[in-house]
Amino acid sequence: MFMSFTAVVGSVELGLIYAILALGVFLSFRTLNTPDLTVDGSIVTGSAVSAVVCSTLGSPVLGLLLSFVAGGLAGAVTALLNTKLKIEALLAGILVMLGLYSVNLRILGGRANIPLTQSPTIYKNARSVLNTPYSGCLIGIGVLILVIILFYLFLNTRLGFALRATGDNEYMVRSAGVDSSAMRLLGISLSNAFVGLAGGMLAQYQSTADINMGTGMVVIGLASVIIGEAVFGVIFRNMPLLLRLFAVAAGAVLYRLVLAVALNSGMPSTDLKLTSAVIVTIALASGAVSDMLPGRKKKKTILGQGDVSVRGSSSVPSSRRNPARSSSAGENSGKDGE
Amino acid sequence: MLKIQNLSKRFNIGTVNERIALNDLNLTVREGEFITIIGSNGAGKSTLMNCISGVERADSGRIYLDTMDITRLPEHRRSRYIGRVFQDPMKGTAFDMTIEQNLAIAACKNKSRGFQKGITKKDREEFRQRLSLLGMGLEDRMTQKVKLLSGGQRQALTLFMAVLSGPKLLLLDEHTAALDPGTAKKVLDLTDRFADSNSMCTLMITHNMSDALAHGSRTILMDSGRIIMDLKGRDRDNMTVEMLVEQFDIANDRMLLK
Repeated sequence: MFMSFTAVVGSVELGLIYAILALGVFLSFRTLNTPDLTVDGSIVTGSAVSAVVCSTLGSPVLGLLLSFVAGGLAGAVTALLNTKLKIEALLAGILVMLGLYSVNLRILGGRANIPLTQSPTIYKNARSVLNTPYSGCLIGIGVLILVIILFYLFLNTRLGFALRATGDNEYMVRSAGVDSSAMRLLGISLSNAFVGLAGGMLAQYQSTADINMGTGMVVIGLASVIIGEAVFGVIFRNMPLLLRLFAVAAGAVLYRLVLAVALNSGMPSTDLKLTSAVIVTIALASGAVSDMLPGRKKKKTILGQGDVSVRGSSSVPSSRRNPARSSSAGENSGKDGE
Repeated sequence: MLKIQNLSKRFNIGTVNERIALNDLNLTVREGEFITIIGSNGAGKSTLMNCISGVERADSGRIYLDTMDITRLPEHRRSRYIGRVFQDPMKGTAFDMTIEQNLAIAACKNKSRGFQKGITKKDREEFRQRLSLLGMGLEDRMTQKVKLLSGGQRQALTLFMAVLSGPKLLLLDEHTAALDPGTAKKVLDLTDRFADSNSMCTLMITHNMSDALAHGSRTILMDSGRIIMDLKGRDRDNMTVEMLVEQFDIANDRMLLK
C-alpha cells in the first residue's frame, strides 16, 4: 500500500504537467461552458512538435513555445468549425481529434514515436543545473506557476472579462458589443494551447512522444478539474478565481497520486484507463447522489451550472417595500415571448 | 434618429408554415422619442426589434441609425449604438460574474478590448456613484455575483448596463413582463428616467395597454407585420385603455386588461 518516495515524487512531477492540461480543460469546460474533445488530439500535437524540435534543433524551450502554438492552432480549427460552419462543439472537437491523428503522424515523420533519449530536454537541463532529485518538480512548479499567473492576469483583462461572460451568457455578450464567435475562437484556441504545452512538457519529461498517448486525456483533465474543485470546495465555500485555478492544478496532482496508490496496491497498469473512467464517474455522480440524500445541499453539476441560487438571502426587491401604485402592471406574467 | 424603410421579413419561406412577420414596414423615430409598441402575439413586434438589433436579418428594406445604414451590420457591431433589455431577466447579465464585472463589460462597448485591466479603481468609483442613483442598494453589492440578485434587480441592472455607454437607441422587449407588479413598476419608473435623460430613441414592447399609454410619447399598434395605428400628441392624450381595446377589438387574452 505504501509507495516508495521516488514513486510519490514521480507522481507529483507528472501531476504538475497534467495540471497545465487541467487548466486548459477548465477554460473550455468551465469558463466557456463548452465540452471540447480536441484535447485528446492536441496534446499529442504539442508533444510531437516538442519532440521534433528537441531532437532536430536541440532547443527544449523553443519546443515548448511551439507546442503551445501548435495546440492553439488545433483548437482554432475546432472553434472555427463550431462558430463558422455551425457544427456542434462536441462533434467539431471529435472531428478535429480524428483528423489530428494523421497530422500528428506527419509531424512525427511517419513514425509512431520519437525517442528523446539522446536529445536535450528541460528536465535534463534542470537536473544538470539544479543538481537535486527534485529538479523535475521544480521545473514543473515553475512552469505551472507562470501559466497560472499569466492565465489569471489574462482573465482579469477587458478581453478576459468578455471571454468569461461568453461562457455565461452569449446574448449579454453580443448586446455588449462583443463578437461571441471571436471569443469562442480565442478561448478554445487558448485552452488547446495549454493542452499543447502540457503535451510538450510530457514528451520532454518521458523522453518520448507517442502517437497514442492522447487517449483519454480529456477525461484526465476533467477529472482533475472536478477533483480539485471538490476537495477545495470543502475547505473554501466561495472560491475566488485565483484559488480556483490553484484548486484545478492541485486536482491534477491529487489525481496522479490517487492513481499511483491504486497501481501500487497491485492493480495492473492495463486497468489504468478503466480506473480513470471510474474515478471521473464517481466524481461526476457525487453531485447527483448527494442530491438524493435527504437534507443535503445541492452540489454543482458537471458544467458548473448547478442550482446554487440562494433564495431568501437577498431576493426581496426594494420595490416590495413601497406598495405598488399601479395594479395594472404585471398582469401578463409573460410566459411566451414571440 | 432611427429610420426603417420597407422592412420585410418572412419565416419558413417556401413551406406550408410560411409566415409574414414584417410586411413592408416603415417607421421613423425622432431623436429622444420614446415609442411604446403594442400588438397581439405574432404581430411582428419582437421580429421588428430583432431586425433592428441584428439578431435576425431582414429579407428586404433598410434600417438607418442616424445617417448610418445598419441593415447589414452584424449584431455585435450594432450593439455599440444600441442598448437592449430582454424579457428574460437571465438574458441580460453574466450570472457567474460580479455586478461590477458586468458593468465593466457593458461600459467597454465603444472601447477596445485588449489587455487593459478589466476594472480600474476609477471605474469602480464611477459605477458605485451611478448605481447609487438607482436607489436599489446595488452599489453596496458590487462584488457579489449577479446570480444572487432577484429578477427585478437584474432587470434594473440590465437596463442600467444598456444605457451605461450612451447608446443612440434603447430596445426594450417586454422587459417587465416577468416581474411582479411592484417590481415592474419600479423598473418602468427607471425606464422613464433613463429614456428621458438621454437624447436616445427608445422602443418598448409591452402587452400592458395602460403602460403603453402611460409611458413614452407615442404608441404604435402592430398587426400582421404592419403598423396599423400610430398615436401621438393629443390623440394619444385622449386615448384610454378601454377606447384602445374597443377601437381595435383586440381579441387576445393577454391584451385584455381591467
